[in-house]
Amino acid sequence: MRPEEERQLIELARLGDVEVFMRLTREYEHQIFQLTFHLTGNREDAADLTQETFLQAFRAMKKFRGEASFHTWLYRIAINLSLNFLKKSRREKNGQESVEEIEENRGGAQLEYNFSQDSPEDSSLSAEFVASLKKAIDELPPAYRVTFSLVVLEEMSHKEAAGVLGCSEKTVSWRVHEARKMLKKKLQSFLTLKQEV
Amino acid sequence: MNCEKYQKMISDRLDGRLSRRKEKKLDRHLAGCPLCRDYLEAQEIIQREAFKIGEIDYPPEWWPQFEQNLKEKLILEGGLDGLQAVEGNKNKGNKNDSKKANRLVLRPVAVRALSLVLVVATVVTIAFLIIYKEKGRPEELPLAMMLSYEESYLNLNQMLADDEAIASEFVNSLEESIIGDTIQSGSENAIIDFDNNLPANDFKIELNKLQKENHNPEEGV
Amino acid sequence: MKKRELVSFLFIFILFGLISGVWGQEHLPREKKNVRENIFVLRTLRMTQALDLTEAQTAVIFPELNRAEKEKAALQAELGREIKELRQLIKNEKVEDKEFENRVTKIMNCREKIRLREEDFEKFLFGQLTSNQKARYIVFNLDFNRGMMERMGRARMAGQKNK
Repeated sequence: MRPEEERQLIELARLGDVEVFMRLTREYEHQIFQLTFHLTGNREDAADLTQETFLQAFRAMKKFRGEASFHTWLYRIAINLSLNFLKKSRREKNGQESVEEIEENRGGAQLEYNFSQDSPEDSSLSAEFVASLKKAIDELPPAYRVTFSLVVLEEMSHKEAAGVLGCSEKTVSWRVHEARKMLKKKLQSFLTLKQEV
Repeated sequence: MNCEKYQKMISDRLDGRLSRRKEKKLDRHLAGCPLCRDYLEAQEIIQREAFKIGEIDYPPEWWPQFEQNLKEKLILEGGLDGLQAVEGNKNKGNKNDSKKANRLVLRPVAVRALSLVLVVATVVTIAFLIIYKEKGRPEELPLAMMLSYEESYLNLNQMLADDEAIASEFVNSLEESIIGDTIQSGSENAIIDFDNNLPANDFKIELNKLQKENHNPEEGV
Repeated sequence: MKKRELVSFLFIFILFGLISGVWGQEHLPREKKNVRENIFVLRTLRMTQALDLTEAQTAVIFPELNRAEKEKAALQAELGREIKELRQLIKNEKVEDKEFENRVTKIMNCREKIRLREEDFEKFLFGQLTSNQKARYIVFNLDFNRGMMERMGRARMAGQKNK
């Protein structure tokens, strides 16, 4: 969608036109779904959060002043909702299964992604590794998890991520580095195996 | 050796934001540091595997249903559907009118039916409120409105706005309740002299008198 | 401090707040001023009873309650005026769309300010209350608002009889 067209649609959506807002939704729904999936690690939760993101955006359309891009604004709403959701579900969840437990219980993880690029011989190891990596990302502290997801999984530049998170590029760079360190530590036994393959 | 610094550079390199000068510096360090080479290799594996988490989506046929659900919720939230929006913008000579009219034709039957139900529901609610108003019976507010004291007050204030007689009755009834509550709570130990603090007001004088009576009941007889 | 003394203390507090705030709006007719101030006095009294507020709690809550009431009363008065003018504008056929837009924006902004101030106070209030009191506040608020509407209905019937 051209920026000029998007600006016009936003102006109309601010008047409460659902049809116009749905056009904007179609433009961004897949991206928001990807993001919320990366943040929650669960498809159903991601679908709910995607819907909630657009509902909240619609309610707040009048407040959207265009200081950030519409895309960035939607990302912020989705991130806030996902963080609140994570906080709530963490509180409710007692005794989370740790990565170490996954390692002991290999093959038990329910995978919701595709991993077909590996050869048959190492696809099993890769699948386990991705499952553990996903779990390890889930266990990162929220700020690190969000930043890592935006930069590595969403492939945003540090500048873009800083814009969405409302922090400096240096903070983004530092958080991603710290997240990587934490992930390496959590996945050490897998990494040793992988490096040997 | 300050490996931490170089590991941070490795992270920046993976994100594609390391300057050429730092790239060279990092390469020189890596050549002589097996620990950091190992770290780089581990991070490259994590990066590669992380990309595999990247793509997930529902099948294409799932999304229209998602959009339909969202749209129905948006209309329930008070959003205008295509028809209302076209009407709303007509007088402004909006150039998008014809586009919206076209969308109207394409809109699913369910949404049109929902719009009709909403219009009927609104008319019935308004008629109901008018009938109630005519009969002068206590109004019931929707739950959301009753939850907010200020919204409730706004509604009340609007009803009282044009009728001094009702407003006066309402104020009298409030004052009676305040006096009743004060006496019930038993404030005879500390009488507040309203006259000293407030503008002349029959209610305050009466309240003051009542307090005194309540303080020394035998004097009041 | 005994409960009855607490109630007296509460009265002084409310009244001082009202003198400096709500009664400052001299331009309002008597009934209009008294509706808001009397609802506030009654609501405060009933809230104290319903939540069983302690002396320490009232000492913290009441200054903020008075401040919030002053600000919200001023905003409600402004909103009332705006709505009154809007009603007159609607009757006038010559009014341009732009004028309506301006009025609607003003009213929406005013409502939003009131909502935010109320939300702000409730957030503060909830910071001072126990879980049990918070739960009771929700029910109290509902009952009080409903009670006001019923009272309004009774006043309307009495007012119509007296006409």
